[in-house]
Amino acid sequence: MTTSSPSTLTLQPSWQRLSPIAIVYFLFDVIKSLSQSFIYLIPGGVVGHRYISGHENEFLIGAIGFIVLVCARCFASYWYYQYRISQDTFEVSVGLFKKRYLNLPFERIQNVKLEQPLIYRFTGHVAVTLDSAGSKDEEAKIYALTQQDANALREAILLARKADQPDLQATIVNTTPSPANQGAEQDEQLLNTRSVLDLVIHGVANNRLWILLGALLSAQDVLLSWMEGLLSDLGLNIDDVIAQATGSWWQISAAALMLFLLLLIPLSLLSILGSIIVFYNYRLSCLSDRYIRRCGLFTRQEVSVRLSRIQMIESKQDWLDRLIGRTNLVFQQNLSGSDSRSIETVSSLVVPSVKAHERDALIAETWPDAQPFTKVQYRSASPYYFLYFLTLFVLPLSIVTSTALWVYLDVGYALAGVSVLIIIALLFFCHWRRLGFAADDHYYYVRSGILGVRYVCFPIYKLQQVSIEQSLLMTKRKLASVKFVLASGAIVVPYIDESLAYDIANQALYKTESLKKSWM
Amino acid sequence: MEGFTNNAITTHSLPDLRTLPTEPISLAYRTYHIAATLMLVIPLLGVLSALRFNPWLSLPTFLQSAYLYVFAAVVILSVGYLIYAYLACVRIRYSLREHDLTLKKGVICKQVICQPMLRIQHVEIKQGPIDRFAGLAKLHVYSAGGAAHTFSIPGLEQVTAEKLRAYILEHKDLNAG
Repeated sequence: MTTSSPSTLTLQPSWQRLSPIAIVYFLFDVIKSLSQSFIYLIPGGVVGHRYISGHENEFLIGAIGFIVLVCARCFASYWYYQYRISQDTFEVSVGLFKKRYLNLPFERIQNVKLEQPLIYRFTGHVAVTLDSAGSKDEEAKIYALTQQDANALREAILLARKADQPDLQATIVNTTPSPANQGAEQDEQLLNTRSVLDLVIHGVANNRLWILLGALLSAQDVLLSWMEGLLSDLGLNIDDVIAQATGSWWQISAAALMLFLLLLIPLSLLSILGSIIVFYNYRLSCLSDRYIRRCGLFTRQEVSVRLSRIQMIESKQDWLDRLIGRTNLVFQQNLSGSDSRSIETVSSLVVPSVKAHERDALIAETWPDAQPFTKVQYRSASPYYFLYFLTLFVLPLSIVTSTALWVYLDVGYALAGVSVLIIIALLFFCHWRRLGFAADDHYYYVRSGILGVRYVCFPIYKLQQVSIEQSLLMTKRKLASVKFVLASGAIVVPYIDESLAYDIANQALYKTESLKKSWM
Repeated sequence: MEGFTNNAITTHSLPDLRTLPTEPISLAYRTYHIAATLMLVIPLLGVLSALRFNPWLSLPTFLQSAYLYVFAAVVILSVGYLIYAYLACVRIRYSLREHDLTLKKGVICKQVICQPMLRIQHVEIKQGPIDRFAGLAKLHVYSAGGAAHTFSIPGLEQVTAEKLRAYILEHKDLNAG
């Protein structure tokens, strides 16, 4: 990082331009979006090809014009982007034709994200994204700042809300003078790192392609019969081939398995590659009251999140994760403004594929008074949850479908239909068994999942809204479901005793309204 | 520390959502809600019939035979909905406490929703043309829980809705958290 000049950032309340390197960034942005829409231009290119061959000069002029236009656009993006940082606000004015002005007080900024794309590594610049607690439109991006300025800005923002907390201020003041990024990192307490091996495990275990492969497996009969038809058209009989083959049936199945694994390997490799690109050199550290996550192979990302912004901690284990004893830990923040809830979103703080003891340590570090998720005594959901599903959904559906299949097709189809419904019922049984709710003085814990397990824990006072739902059947059995709405999404506790449901809802309301603590 | 108390609290002594006294929304809401539904359904049936029986454009035979089924489906669904609305509208009740707003509703599936005041981000009063004609209004209360969890009370008399909004906006805890 080539940052030697002292930071002038916080001392200049006048309007400033970005570093000219931002033009390159804008150019890459344009190229990226152009290449994304390039696929739509291919038909045009095919049609236009014949025309071009007769008019090379005109085409060349057009192409040059286009390039000039793109460059002009990038320059305009740079020239008309101005920002100003005062004591406690960040202001930005953008746009040539459509002017946009955004005023973002520091205290409303939820996240500060530092990103270093490959092109910035040579000049030591970073792109800074300021996430507000509000909508996606209120996100501000400073496309190019020196690493040092970015650090200073981050400090200023994170300091803003602590002005009235003298003890915390002291810690921060000590860290501010450290000039470079490396200096700042020394004061941090390293909480977790992920080795490449961990990331490989994460890539394997979180391969969403497994599901796809399962579907492919069930389609193999169709594929085989189609291939058989094709081969017999060519004068080959697959049964004869197999009968003549020297190998026994298990050799053939082993070969088939090999083929399947061979297919699996490239897909898993892709997933591992993705995991490494996103999480390479993962470091989660803590500096006074905030967590900082750094990772990324090509584009290095640094996300700072104040601990008070964490709404809930989620621990997710797929069935494969369970087999190898790994867990994805997610510190969930306010999600109401963002559009994606996927695990890779920047604003959620993910710790990929940690071991059980690492997970417990991270939870204890974040919320020392919370209990380890697995050691809490969970109350299970009422058996009526499963019973009603069975009698009101599975049973009528299996009667209707099996009769229909029997009448119109064959007994075999009817049995197949029923067995699918039995599998659904079994999965729902697993889901019911998994459900659990626990509470202590400060936290609520919810367990869910089907084959995997998902634990969620949240401080009671973070509640945004609570609702209790009861169908007629539930009222009869004195059961109810409770939905806790947090800024990071809703958590449902289904089919518990009516009195317990009202007790935990009342308790949550009481805690929220009497403590009057901020959810942010 | 003046006035600070720290008495032990048991769950049973907490303010209870079950015993909360509630008040109904405007009685006129049911009438206007049913009228609004009919104003949507009747023109829809009219358009369907016009398409089928107009002398200028003849539909393909499969659409002609589908007409009766579509017509019947629209009628059955609408009648079902109207019966539900007739029963459900009078079961919408709300309650205002010092620290929260509560809404109770539902016929087959009963729901009690409670919105603490200090988590409210902003309040909105919405009035459609029919609402304006009837002097009714819908109160929307937004929190950080997201758009899917907007707390809303329909069928309030306009005066009541404005009073509620004023109460919420003047609440000392608003925007505190």
